[in-house]
Amino acid sequence: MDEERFNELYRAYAGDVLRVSCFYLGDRHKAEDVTQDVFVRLIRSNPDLIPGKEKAWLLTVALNRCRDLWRENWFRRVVVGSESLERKRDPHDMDEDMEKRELKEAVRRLPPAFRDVVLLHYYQGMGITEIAGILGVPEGTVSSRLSRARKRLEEDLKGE
Amino acid sequence: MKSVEDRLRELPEDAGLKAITADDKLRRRILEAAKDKKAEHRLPVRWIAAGAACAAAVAALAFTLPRNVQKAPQAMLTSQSAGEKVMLAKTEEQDEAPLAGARESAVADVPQGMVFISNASAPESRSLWVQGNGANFPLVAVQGKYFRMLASPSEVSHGLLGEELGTVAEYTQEPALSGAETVSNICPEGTVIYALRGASGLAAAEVNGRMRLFQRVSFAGRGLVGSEHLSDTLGGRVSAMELSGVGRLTGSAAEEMWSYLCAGAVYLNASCAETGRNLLVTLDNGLTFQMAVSGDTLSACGAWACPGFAEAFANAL
Repeated sequence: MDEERFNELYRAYAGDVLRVSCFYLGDRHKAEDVTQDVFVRLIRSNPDLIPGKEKAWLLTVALNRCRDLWRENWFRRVVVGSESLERKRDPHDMDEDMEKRELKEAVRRLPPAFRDVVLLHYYQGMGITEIAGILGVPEGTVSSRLSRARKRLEEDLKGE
Repeated sequence: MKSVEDRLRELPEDAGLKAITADDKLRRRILEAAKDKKAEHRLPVRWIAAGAACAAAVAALAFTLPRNVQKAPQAMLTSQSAGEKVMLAKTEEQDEAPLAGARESAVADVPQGMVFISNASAPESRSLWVQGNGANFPLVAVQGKYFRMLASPSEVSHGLLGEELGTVAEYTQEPALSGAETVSNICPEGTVIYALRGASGLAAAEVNGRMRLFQRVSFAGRGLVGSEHLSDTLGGRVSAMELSGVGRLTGSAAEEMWSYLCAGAVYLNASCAETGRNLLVTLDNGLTFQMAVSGDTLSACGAWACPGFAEAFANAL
């Protein structure tokens, strides 16, 4: 893939890949590693991307990589120094930040299958059909997972 | 208080996440990595340091943990009764059997998988649960109760079958998402699910022409139904208990230990994580179920805190 094409895709989608990975893993450094892996693979494999589907391809690769890292539980326990994603809190909006932090932590506690659909639908604004294409599952499965994820989050957040 | 839906819809506006941007430094790093053919195998320095720390920690642990508390390959023997041999269909378990000659066997007094070589004073960990794909292991579910298929025995005698619990209404690869009363990802629709006589928490259903054993477990965040206790989810007349890496109790000692366990168990949550240690409980009808062990926490249908269990077991030996 030529550098011009890479730069175009990087400017358009790298931020989304990085933010989704940050949200998923809760660690900026690891998210940057995932983003690097995704775009290096893009450059080397130079896939025949359908116009308009570039983001879907990139997020698919990113989610797969995030899931691989997430499964390495021992890594999460041992690696230290994970940076917080939170900017320094403004004392005036402490309560709002707490609520948002709780929600993000609750999303991270979801099973991977539920977490994927929540990130893609609510955070990335993707529709059911597009998510089904990315994850390779039927649309009904996506809808069910979203519904179950919301229920789980309600139960989790009620308990806090 | 906002609903979860409303809060989720605000995620794209989250300032913390919005502040994260992919800068030019990352872009140049990617380009450098792509040019370097070895870059994919190179870990960032902090990962190498973390890896070295982990290796050191693992090496230190290896010297402190009992050698036999590990997942070792099972030294399993095939068994057959005297008399006429019967050709049986090859099963998935036989594909993975360490001994290649397992296709020819008899429906024997000693079911396949029940004879193994182990150190009686410190038995190696062995799991009876059939593995599946990721979190979806082979299961049947009836009225909100989930049962996981066991690798052994390869066939349950029809004489052990009790009442019918239900009939599979839906076959699906996503059992967690099914709303059917009775569902399975291994048994076709119409398969009858049976209870087992003299055992709670065990079920049987036909899989590929054989009556297979299933054990009550938690699944997809669901464990207990109503006000169940541990003995409601698993139990019967216990004749032996084997704790990997520790030893094996039989007879009245095993029965007393099971009673001790049930009396003291406190329900923690609906998780059931597989660990490197197992507690195998054999009933007097010959059937065995298992619980994963982590310290004094045992799990099968949910995780149960059993303070003092490990010490009591060791003392009972």
